[in-house]
Amino acid sequence: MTLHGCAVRWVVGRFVGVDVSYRDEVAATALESTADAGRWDRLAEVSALVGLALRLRWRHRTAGREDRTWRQGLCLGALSVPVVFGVGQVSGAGGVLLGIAAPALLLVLGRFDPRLAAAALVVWFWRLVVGDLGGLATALATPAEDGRVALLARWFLMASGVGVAWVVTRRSIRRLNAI
Amino acid sequence: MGESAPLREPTFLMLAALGPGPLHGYGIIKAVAEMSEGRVKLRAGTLYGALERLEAQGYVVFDGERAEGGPPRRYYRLSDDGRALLRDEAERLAANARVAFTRLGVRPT
Repeated sequence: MTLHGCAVRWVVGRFVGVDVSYRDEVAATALESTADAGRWDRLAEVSALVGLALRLRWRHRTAGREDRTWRQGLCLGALSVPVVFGVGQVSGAGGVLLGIAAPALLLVLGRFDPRLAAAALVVWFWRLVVGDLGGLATALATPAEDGRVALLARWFLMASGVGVAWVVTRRSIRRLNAI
Repeated sequence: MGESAPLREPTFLMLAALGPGPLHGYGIIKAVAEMSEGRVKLRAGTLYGALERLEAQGYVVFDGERAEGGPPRRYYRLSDDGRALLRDEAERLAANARVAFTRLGVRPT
């Protein structure tokens, strides 16, 4: 089996709430439709299957309901906070990766499973409240302080992250339920 | 099923593909590519996501598994509600097209 075939089989094996014949059918369709495709088309197909896997998981766990999506997403975010901030204390690339890139990745995947976008919202909100809100007050009180602009920009980015995560969660729930 | 918003083009074409009769996933992908002259290219992940929504809302029905000279395939067909939805959407699009042609003062090609 080719690498593409292995990737397709692995992703469909992660589908939840469906039977074996459904997994086989999706894999067969994906392989047939990319039989003569190039590398990028095959990669795009596998990405679409990852999106389907996330969507099926969300549907299975929440039945597509908004209240369950928010509840589960906020819980997931609350559980992620200690991990993200624990490693986020570490300086260097690892800290940056988990502190900023990990919530951003959750946001992207949240288009297919809105619970992940809700989790990103919690992580950024926590970061905003714990890390930046106190600093913001200090920066506003001392106008000539060095680094004020950087702190305001950082606060603005974090606040925007919370807003974007909220919008992505709501829009994804609507989009995934629409036909 | 209630009032529905305008269908997205891939969804409309998927329903149209199922108009003549049941098809399996790859059959739908080929029919959509043919109807749109290659403009709309469905990926399996997108197709089955849309089918899952359409099935959940009662517009498409699982029509069983059949093996036609190969491994068994899952077939899907339009329900009565799906057929009505497709007809309503086609009429809406046709009415819009008529208005546009009239206002442009040209005849449809």
